[in-house]
Amino acid sequence: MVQDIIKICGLSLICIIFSYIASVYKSEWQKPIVIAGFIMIIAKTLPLAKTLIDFFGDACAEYGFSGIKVIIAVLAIGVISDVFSQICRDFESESIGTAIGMFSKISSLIIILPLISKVFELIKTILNAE
Amino acid sequence: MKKIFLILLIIFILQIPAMAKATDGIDIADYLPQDIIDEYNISEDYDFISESKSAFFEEFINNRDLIIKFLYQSAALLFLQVAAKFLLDENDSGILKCVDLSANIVFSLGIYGIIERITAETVLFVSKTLELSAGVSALQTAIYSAFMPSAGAAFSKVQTLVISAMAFVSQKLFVPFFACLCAVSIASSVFGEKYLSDIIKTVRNGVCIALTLIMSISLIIITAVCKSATNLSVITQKTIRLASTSLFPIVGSLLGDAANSVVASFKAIINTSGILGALCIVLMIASPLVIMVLLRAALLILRILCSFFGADGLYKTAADFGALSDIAFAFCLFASIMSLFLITSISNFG
Repeated sequence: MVQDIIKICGLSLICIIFSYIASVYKSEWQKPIVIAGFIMIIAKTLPLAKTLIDFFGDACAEYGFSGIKVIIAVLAIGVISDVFSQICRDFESESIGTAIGMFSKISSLIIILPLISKVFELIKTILNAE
Repeated sequence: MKKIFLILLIIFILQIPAMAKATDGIDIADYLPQDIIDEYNISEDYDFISESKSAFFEEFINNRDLIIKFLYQSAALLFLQVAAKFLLDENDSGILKCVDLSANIVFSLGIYGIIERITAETVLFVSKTLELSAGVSALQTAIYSAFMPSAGAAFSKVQTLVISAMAFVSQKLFVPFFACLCAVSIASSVFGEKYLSDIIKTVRNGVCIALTLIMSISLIIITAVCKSATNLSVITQKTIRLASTSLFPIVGSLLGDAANSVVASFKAIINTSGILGALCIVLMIASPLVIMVLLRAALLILRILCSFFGADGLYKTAADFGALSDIAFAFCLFASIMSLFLITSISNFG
């Protein structure tokens, strides 16, 4: 894990150096270099995130925690939208970043709707049963 | 100090099955005095202790597994909440609120299964203790009435009144009342309104005060009837005093002061019905109390973790459901103290 973070830091350092060189000598190459660096770092991060998601998936399957998958999905949406809206802001596309944020919030609400309806059903069952 | 005691208690309780396994080959008859073996006609083939023990521990292990599963789930929820705070930008509060809300809902749905079981166990517990009191009182009041007809009849009326009142409360009032409170707790966890939590806490305090008052009045009446006919033993008098003063502190020091009443009543039981009688009663009433104690300990651990990691929503939900388990626990203690007192007063009557 420590080696991974060192690799990622090294990669980001190389990206920054190339981006700086590009900004001095060939400014039109700067943004593609940043995007390439971003994709490479994300490609390194995804297996780690997969380990975490697999761990929770196994726990959910073993103990029957069905609701936790919803929270993981909301968290994943939040993290992905956060990262991409930040990139949009870096590229001075604030409105696209805001749209991504809006989309992530609405999709999170849609994902947790079954949980909310489950709660209302439960309250209804409790009050009707007795 | 109370928290440390509770944590030590939970560690001890988790070890009980291992201790039970270690004592499997031991014959209890080797450790009992000969007069008790003769009195209760315990033969070598009679294996009541092992059978009761295995049934009790089977249920105990089920309850323990249920609570451990609940703790795992809560720990996972807490981890996800902390991860959300850690990973997401604080400006992105919409997603954070979604994570908090879904964590609270999943927690409520998880704990509801346990609360439902506790409700059923509480009703079963009260009906078991009432059956025990009614059985013993019917037999012994009949015997006493033969020797002291007037006092015996008065005592019998008081007992019947107390037992009928307790049966009515447990069967007709407790379940719907508890279901309503459960619904309020779930709503509180979803909406996060402070006044809903306040309602639950106020109801919990009110129930404890009401149970204390009912118990004190009942004990005063029974004591008056008993004293009109005979002198009570020192242990029973001690039981009355402790029982009438100890249930109220249930709000503050549940396992401390209220336990004194049970211990004093238990001493009275040992005094009157012997070790085996006491063991039968313990095995009969301990099982429902175990899940409540385990749940209380689990919620306490969870609240400590929540306050440590700053998960306020989960902390509040855990506190609300803790108040619910307090009510069930108070009701069980009330029923057990009343029943133990009825049995001891019957045994000392005359």
